[in-house]
Amino acid sequence: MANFFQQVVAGLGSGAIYASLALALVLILFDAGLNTPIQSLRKYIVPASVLATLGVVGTALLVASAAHAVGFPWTFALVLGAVVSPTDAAAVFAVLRNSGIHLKRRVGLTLEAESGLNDPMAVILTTVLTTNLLMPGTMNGWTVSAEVVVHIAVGAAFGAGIGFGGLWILKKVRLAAGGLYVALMISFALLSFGAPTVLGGSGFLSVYLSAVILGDGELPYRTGLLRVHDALAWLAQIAMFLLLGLLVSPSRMLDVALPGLILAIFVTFIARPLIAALSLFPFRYPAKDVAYIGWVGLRGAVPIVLATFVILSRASGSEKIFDLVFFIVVVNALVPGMTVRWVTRKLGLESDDPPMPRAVLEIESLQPLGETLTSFYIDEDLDLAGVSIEEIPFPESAGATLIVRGNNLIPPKPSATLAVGDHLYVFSKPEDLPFIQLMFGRPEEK
Amino acid sequence: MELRDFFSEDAIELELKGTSKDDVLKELIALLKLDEKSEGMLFKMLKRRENLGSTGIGRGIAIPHCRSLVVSKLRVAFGRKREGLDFKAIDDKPVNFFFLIVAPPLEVSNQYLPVLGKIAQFSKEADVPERLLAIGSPAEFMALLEEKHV
Repeated sequence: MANFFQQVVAGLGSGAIYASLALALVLILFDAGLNTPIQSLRKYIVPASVLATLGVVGTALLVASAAHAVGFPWTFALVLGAVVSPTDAAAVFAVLRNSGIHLKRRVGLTLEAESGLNDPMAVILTTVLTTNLLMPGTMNGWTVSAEVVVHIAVGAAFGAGIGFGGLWILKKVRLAAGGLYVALMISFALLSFGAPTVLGGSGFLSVYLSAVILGDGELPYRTGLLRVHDALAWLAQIAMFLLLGLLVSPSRMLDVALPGLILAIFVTFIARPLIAALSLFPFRYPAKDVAYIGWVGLRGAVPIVLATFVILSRASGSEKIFDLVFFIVVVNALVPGMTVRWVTRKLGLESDDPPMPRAVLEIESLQPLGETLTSFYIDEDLDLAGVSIEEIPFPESAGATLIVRGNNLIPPKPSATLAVGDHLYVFSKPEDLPFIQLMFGRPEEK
Repeated sequence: MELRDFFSEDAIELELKGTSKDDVLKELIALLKLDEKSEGMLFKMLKRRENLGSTGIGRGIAIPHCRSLVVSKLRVAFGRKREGLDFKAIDDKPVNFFFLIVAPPLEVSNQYLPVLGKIAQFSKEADVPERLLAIGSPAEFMALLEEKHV
């Protein structure tokens, strides 16, 4: 059966495989960008950006040095370093979510922002360094740096342009059906990738940036749109892993087992913790936060996809790079990955944020709305337990819409009273939100 | 219920000296003239409320508030810091005007939330920040409340 699939993959040809993987990565990055909580991340964007840029370059150089030390030529070692440099916060959050642990905001948001931002940087580095692997000696430090700058500049310009342009179009155009908005959003994603790629920029950076801008703006039919993109991203991941599985030959793994193990241990125990400590030093993060970020910088699917791009370039030694990367990612996922829960508890980084409501109330609309629906957790320190809805001095245009208490939904009649642990949904105009927050504290994250 | 009925001139400080959020909260608490132990307890309660989200509602105004056993009836105080202070307000801008509200856990007359609502409503008026900046004495502050019918 495997042989049959491998024949199918061979029949597809490298162009089709590249297009499939690139499309999968575009859909994944677009979904990640749409869901990036830019307002919450704002505070951590600078440290995360340092980790995602200088940190990626530093990790790539350290891993390349280690790979060179175990006998690989520099051109090969640099590509390997670039490919394994990005982290994947989704892997960390998946582990934490399954074990019911909430991570402290500063650590969680820094990891999340870093992983969103570092994929484009790693893609750019890999692309440039693979060119160097194909044509050794054609690039030096300056030309690599110049290429990186051009990739970033063109990618960022297109990402920002398509993001803001997309928001403008969504504001002006009224489509007849909700499904058409999905088609329009996918066209933004594909245009964000295609246009800068043709002009020598980073399509992946452009996709991520345009999605961040679109996600931060007013989207019609928002909940539905986000749900469809979430489903597309999952579908893309499944398709991507299916293709990747077909490219792996377990028999080849034995050949790279020893250097792979050495490099995996180096990435996990030396490169990542060192880079995290250096990158976060100027921002005075507490030592345990730095230790955690250094330890749980898990590698996910992106390094494997990048290694596949290297294979498809048919550069010499590219299969070995793929095998090494696969090995490093698996070891990295197993060692720190299996300890994420334990380390979170040991370092005392569990958040005491309130639990999520068991039921979520949302407003679906094809038109951008002027009002918002916000939920608040009724904490003991708000002193609102036992207070009835009619006693709350809501602004004129605001009101309670639902109380979620455990598994029960309670209509907010005037006589209904609040209890500690409730989740209260409040409908209001945006300008009234400060006064509502004055009574109920910070809104819950969606 | 009139807001001005809850204020007294000796609980108004137009030149707050504190340079941090904690300093200013302590100065506001001092205006209520409680004993040292009560001041400490109240400070902790206010900090716990601030941890749930800043009471800085924007336009240079903050309304720190809580219920506490250290008071037997609803108490309010007002403080001003001309140059502003980082209070982690919702609009990320410095805060110049601080209204402190403290109510006992159980109130017969249930004035806590209505007073909070009244101060919030007063703060929404367009000229309030400018007028608060211009007042020169506690008496002028009381006169402003009267003028605004709150």
